[in-house]
Amino acid sequence: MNSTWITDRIGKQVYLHILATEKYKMVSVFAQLESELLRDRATKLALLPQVLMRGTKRYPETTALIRAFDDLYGAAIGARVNKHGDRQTVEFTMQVPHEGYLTSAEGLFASAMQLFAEVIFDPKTEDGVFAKSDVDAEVVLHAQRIENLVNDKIAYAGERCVQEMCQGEPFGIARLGYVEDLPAVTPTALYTTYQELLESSALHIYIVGPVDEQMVKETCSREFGRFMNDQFAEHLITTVSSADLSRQMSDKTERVVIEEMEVSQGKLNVGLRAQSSYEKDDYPALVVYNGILGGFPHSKLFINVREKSSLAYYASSRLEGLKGLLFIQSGIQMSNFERAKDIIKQQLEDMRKGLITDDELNFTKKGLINQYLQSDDQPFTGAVLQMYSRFTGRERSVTQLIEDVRKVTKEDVVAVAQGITSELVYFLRDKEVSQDESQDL
Amino acid sequence: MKAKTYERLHETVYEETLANGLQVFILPKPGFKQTYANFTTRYGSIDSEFTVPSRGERIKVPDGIAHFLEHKMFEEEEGDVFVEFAKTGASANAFTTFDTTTYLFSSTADVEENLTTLLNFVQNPYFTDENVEKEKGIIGQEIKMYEDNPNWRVYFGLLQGLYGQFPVAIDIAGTQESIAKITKETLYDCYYTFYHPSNMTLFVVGAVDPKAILELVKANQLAKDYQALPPIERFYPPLPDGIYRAETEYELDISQPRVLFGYREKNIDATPAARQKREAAVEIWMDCLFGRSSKHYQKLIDDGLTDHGFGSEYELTHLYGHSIFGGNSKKPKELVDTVQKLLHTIADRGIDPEDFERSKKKAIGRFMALLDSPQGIANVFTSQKLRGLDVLTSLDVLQSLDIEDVNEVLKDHVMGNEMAVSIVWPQQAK
Repeated sequence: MNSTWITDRIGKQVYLHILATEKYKMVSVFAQLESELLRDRATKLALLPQVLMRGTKRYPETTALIRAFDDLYGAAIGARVNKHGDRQTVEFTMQVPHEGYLTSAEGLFASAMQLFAEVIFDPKTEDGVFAKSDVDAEVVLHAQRIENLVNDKIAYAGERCVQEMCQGEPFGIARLGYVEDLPAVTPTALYTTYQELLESSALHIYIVGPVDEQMVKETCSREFGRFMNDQFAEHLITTVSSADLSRQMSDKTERVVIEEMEVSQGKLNVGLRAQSSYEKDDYPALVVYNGILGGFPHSKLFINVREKSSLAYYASSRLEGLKGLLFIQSGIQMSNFERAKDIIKQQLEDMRKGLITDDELNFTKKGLINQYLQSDDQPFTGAVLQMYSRFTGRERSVTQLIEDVRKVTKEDVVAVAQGITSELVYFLRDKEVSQDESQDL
Repeated sequence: MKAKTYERLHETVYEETLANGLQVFILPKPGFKQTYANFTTRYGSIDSEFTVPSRGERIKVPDGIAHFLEHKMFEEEEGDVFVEFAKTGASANAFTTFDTTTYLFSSTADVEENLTTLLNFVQNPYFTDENVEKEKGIIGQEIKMYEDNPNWRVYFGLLQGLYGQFPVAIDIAGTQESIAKITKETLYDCYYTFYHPSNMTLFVVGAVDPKAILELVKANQLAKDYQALPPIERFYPPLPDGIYRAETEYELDISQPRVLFGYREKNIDATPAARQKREAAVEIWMDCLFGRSSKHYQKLIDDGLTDHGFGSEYELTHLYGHSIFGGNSKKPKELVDTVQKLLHTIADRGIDPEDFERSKKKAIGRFMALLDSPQGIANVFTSQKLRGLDVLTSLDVLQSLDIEDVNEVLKDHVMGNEMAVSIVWPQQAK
């Protein structure tokens, strides 16, 4: 099925992207606003989607608003803050069954889009700003949301690595913001942030499913058109490589950070910086590098840390493509810290030296191509790639990525490997000499 | 090959039971790039006591062995099975639940080759003293990882409160001590008891030709020499009368308490159809009471008793059943009391007819969403099939429910039943 994206505009602010495909039974909607990632705005933007979900002018009661969505066959609405490179985005998603698969459900999509548009553009207000009771309640919940990050130790260790490696740069700012910034978030301050966002950011809406393009265009023009501001002028965020700026800021020396908590498993993470990133020509080689190092069960980390040494259940690496950063993660016994670290370092060294087998290269390329093709079975893949194209000025489609990965040679990977520096060793460990350690000694 | 078409869903499932007893299901999904296959045995963590067919001996095996076996299946005399899948770019994996073990792959090319690999490796055990020992370090770390996870801890804490020694309360991966006892001989006993094709299903979904897939599977299975086996004898300790323990508490280094609580299901219906109907009815009342659009849900949050993660779920099999409610809470005991009172009030009064209609519609929408995920539909279809149910009839079951059914099921579950509570507290600062 060769479906292609159709793009349309509504007013000056809204870009509508439609992919009509019979492959799905659901219509999926993704909408996104963006801002630079700024310390003094991050917390407010993180709170904004929560407050928008509290109520609209038509449905000022939260429960009534969610009921309105539920009445539409449980149209699943979600609103969240996200971080992509040096940008913070406010993202809205909705999934609603295509009415053709239901009996007497005409107008389902239109009703859902009406509600969806109102959540973004027509929130409940009091005295011209968000309701104080809503903001206060969400401030308390958001403080807990931030504090709860520590409860998932794998995610927590990963987040700590980002903060440690990117101190002082936008990417080091926490996605959810900061507890200490919450007291300053008043209804007026938050509403001002909301207005600034709507005055500066275009809204990109992606709609994927068994839809009629014309009907989608008409519905969206009607539902979003009523909120359009003729004066809107998009504030374009600079597309200068933020990865390059980060590289300049880095002093390229390795730091060791050890954090103690009451845990039974140690989390050993390593932060790496590459000279390549999404917008560069050698990005596909970086993707292959990450795959060989730790993206698959045939990768060096899995084979050497887990299969050969039985030191870990998980040992993998993750690429933050927009920033050219890689993060290795593993869960180990406390006493195996040095051993596991040495094995990890050896893999990095082996890659620099070009000790990469043909199987490692070929399996990785095939595995990546498989992942890219599979991503096409998820409705929002196209949206994310288009978003990244706008953010970096570098257009990459699934087809192009596959083509590029296919062409990567071992020499390309080694060239990337030689530009990679290890900047952080992070270890989350227990507070005292642990049982298993004392036994080993 | 039988074709079963679900008119309203525009889906057709092809199925056939092969001569050796293997049940094969194929769901064509035109337009999808991936093919997803899952090969599942009706054998999970709760099956720790059974008769070994070859010698008629009843044995009890160490906790966590079904999961251990799952790990060890990926090793063959020729080497690691992951390599075989990696050659085509396929991604392979496996998981163990209370009552099933599933091996799976998804790929966008070389489907025949990958399907053959899947069938062959699961049907070819290779255990040695050495490779069994090696795995203990890896699984030991998997267990450690879960020990630090508050969701997992609070969940098994609740299951212990609900079930005591009944095996559903035992961690699927076992403990460091139990896995230390696992040997290759015991693994073979488990393997030959539970991995006979007649105890297994294969589900393939994707842009495939059902005929070609079935031919391949048939030829592959015919070439293997399987003798018919008598029905598997499994033994379970008796369920405790009522709950085993009212409160289970634990401490971890976390920011705020996490609490789960629930009831055991007294009515373990005799037929799969009755269980399917009960499950659907519970899903409806749970959504009416604690779904995001419920005023009770919003009030729990506004009163500072929990956050947006508060939720509920229900599980029912032919052996056991229970409900679970809960989430994060600064005041876990107050949350439990409030929810319990609410459950009693609504069980007494009945749910609101408008809520009932809305929840039904929502359940229909959520079911449709499942059909868009090859992996989702394959896994749910299989786990339901192994419990004797057809998940694709869910819509009909939902339509057939009326509000009286739902109220009765709610009353039955809640009234006169004792609740078990599990709390993981933040560690006292040292």
